[in-house]
Amino acid sequence: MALIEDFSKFVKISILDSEPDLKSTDDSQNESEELWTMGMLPPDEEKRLLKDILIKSEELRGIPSYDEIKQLFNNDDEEDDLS
Amino acid sequence: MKKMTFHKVPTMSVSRHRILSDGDGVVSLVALYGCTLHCRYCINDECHDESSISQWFTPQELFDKLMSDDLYFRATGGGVTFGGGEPLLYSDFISEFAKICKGRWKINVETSLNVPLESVQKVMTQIDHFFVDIKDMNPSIYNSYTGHSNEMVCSNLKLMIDNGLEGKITVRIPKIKEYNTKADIDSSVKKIKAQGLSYIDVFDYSINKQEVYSRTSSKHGKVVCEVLKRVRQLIADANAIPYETVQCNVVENCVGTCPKCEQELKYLSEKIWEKEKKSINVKL
Repeated sequence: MALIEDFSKFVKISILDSEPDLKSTDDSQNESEELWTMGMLPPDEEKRLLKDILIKSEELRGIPSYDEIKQLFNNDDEEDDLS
Repeated sequence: MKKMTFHKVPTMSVSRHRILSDGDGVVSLVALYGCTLHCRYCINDECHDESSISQWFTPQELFDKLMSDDLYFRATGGGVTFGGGEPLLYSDFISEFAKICKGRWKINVETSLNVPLESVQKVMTQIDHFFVDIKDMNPSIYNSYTGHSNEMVCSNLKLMIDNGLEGKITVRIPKIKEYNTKADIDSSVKKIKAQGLSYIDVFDYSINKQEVYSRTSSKHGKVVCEVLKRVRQLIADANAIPYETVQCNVVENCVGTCPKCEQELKYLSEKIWEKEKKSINVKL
């Protein structure tokens, strides 16, 4: 088993959590959407899935922290408990 | 015992750091020269022109060249994808490469399967995944588009299925302008599913490279760079290797790697390989 078990999810997390200059334009937004549409789930569902993966992989990766996850998904419903 | 020497094979290119396009994980795409088909809209038509050959490799030479991305391959479940051209024209080479590889990296093949049965038999148990471009299952459409019969394609698919390799095959069915219709594609999908294959990729075939390039974001390189940077950080963390990445601000002209990124990768690789030489367990 590879260190990164689900690489396509890892790529998407990297995009979501990338440097501001990579996400700041419409072009980069399209980039994220392109990746999402590559045979994967609809964005809302996938976002939820990504969150689960982030939490599960937190121990192994050492990142991101709880606060970072919250920041990453700061548009999510308040009732979602990430802890 | 005398060591076997292996003839070199011609390649058109070795493309590093392919992500989400040619197999799982980080992949290097090795484009081998030559193809028996003459597809009307071949996107790599230079594979019929000898001047497109850029380098010749023995299996060991290719393995050595690809070693620079060893950590990326192993940490992401990636490896090498042989494309072309038709890579199974060089099945002896691929088989020998797989023996050298010893399962260290995943080995994929992008093929038309329009090759003699023996070429498939030689490698089919050594390949992790086959991406099979069947064009269309209708023999007359296939013949009209490629100039060849699809009999060998069908018999090779059957051979692989009979050997229980269904799970290692992704069948690609392109929608080809002026050659097949939605009904033709539906018919091909039905025939493929009837054979027990479930990984099927139906897509609109781009008939020229310009069209493909225009779909690629100008920031694609930076995305690759960002992903690889995170892979390196993860490897360092998992193996307690002191590591600090250099933050760079290049976005538009980034090609996915640069001398600084390569330097960081080399540093990590040497640390990991050193541990392995001392039989220290590493996490990859």
